[in-house]
Amino acid sequence: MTVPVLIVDDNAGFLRVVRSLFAEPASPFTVYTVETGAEALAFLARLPPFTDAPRPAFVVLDFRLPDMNAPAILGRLAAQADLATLPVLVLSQAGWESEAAEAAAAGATRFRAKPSGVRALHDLVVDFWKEHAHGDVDSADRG
Amino acid sequence: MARDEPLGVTTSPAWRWNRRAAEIPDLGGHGTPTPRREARVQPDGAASATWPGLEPAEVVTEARRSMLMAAAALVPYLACAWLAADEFGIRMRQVVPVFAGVVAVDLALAASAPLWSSSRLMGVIYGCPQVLMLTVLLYFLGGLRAGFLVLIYAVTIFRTAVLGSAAAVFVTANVAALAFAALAFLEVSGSLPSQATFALAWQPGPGQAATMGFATWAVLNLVAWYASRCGYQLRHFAAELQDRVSERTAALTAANAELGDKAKALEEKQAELRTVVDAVTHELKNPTNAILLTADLLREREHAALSAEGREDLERIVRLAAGTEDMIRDLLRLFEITSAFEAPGRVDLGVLVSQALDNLKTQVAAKQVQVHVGALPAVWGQPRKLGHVVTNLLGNAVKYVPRGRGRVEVTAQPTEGAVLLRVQDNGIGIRQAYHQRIFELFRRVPAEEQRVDGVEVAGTGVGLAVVKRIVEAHAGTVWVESQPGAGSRFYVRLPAAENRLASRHP
Repeated sequence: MTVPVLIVDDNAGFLRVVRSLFAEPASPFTVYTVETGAEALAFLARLPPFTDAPRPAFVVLDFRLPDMNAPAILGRLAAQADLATLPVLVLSQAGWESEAAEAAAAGATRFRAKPSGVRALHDLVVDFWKEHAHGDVDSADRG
Repeated sequence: MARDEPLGVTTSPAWRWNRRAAEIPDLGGHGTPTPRREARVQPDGAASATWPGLEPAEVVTEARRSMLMAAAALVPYLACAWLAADEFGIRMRQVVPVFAGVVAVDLALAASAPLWSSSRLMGVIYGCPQVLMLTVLLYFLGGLRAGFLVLIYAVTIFRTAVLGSAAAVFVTANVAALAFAALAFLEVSGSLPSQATFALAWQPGPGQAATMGFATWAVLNLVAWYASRCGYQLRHFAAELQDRVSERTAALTAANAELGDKAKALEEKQAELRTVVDAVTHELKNPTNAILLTADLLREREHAALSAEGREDLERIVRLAAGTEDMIRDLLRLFEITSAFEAPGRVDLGVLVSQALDNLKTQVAAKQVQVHVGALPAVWGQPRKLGHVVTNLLGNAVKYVPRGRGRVEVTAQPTEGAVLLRVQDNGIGIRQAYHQRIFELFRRVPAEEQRVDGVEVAGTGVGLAVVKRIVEAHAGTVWVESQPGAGSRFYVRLPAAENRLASRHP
């Protein structure tokens, strides 16, 4: 039983690496990727073409997207009762402290600069899952 | 200060006022005083000791005029006395020499005004004999009965002089004279009986009443003239102050507006730059990061499948991509740190150093570096930026010392309003040729020349350039003393907190 995860990033190279990284049979995740903020919101709301989308255990969100930035997306999530508690890991290329502050204010669960190695990236995502989303899955399983 | 102080006037409030005015800083083109005002704010003893805000030539004129007025005031007195001599039984032979004496002294002082006008004391000293001589005159003119009565009006006249215009002073004086003339007429005509008992002994005739009336009119007008001069001085002084205040206010407003404009322009530039940096981040760092991650993934997955040469090539790709990404990251950091606004304040170097060591504790522990921190004073500056400076210097020191034998020492000493911070290490040292260059952006000692424990030390050549920028933005300096194999001593001179606080609160 793998955990569905939504990765939002406009960099196709990055998405390919993430998909590949968690494609191994031992991976705890099933990775879903979208490239824009609008797609991410549609995926989470199960709007077409994502009507069959699962509810992800957590979201990995690039700070800067072509159509909207992470704080705007977080604001939209906060307005929906069923999505307000969804754990969101915001990743940023620049890693500005101002971005970190904006993300935290908008309700991001964690803010990090994008790691420079696949091992670090893997550990970052897994640690985030264990710390913030794992409990939810456990209780869901028990329920 | 002593150079500017004329003798005997050091406690004059007027002088102090001028002194303060002279100390108001000039605000560039906006605050430039007119030449006349320039002359007035000079802490010139002669001018400011006597009359606030007057030039020396004006002071002489004022002094001379006051003496001539005193002399002129006596002439109508003499005329009145002469006219009334028969009526009142005044002995003119006694009166005239006293009159002449007083007038002569006044005229002599008027002529010699340039010699004495710089001293306020002179006016006071002369006041005493003048009062004495005027009293003698009053005695000869009839003493109590003739002299004191009309001067009650002076109270009103002087008050008008303080509050009203020059014209109002004369109007008051003439209204008072008219009122007194009316009283004299009523008394002489018998319509109004005298009230004071001593006055009953003397029943003035119409001639005496007319003389009294005329004398009153003359005296009160002289009082008014004198009073209006005082009022003029007061008003002049107030107007001068008002002028100065509005002048300075206008200068400050203009300076503020200009600063506001500049700040706005700077903000716009900053926003523009931020947009460019954002784009650079996105367009450069994103693909670099993707290359790095892809190569890294390939290395992890296909390591065994690659030939030795293939592995080496892949390692090089990872190293180059990582170096490029580091460089972009450092550049972004440079922009973020140097462009962020921070309010300057008192910064405790001790706190900065312990925070920096906390950030570096992994590296320090890994290499078993001994760190010694001396007593560190406070400096004046922007805490986050200075924290970056300290972290960078300490990070470098830890980076270039040998494992297990590394020793880093942080000390500081106060020097003439500044603090000299020293970060010393026993690392590999730096050749003289690189002592300047290492502070330039992207210029660093070639990696092959800096091996620590046999390993080349990587870097982007941004760190020390940021340090130099921050230190220089604090009006400080940074330099290095080092020899290969003999360790390095980095020095940072920063403004001391005490010095800055002292100059803010004199």
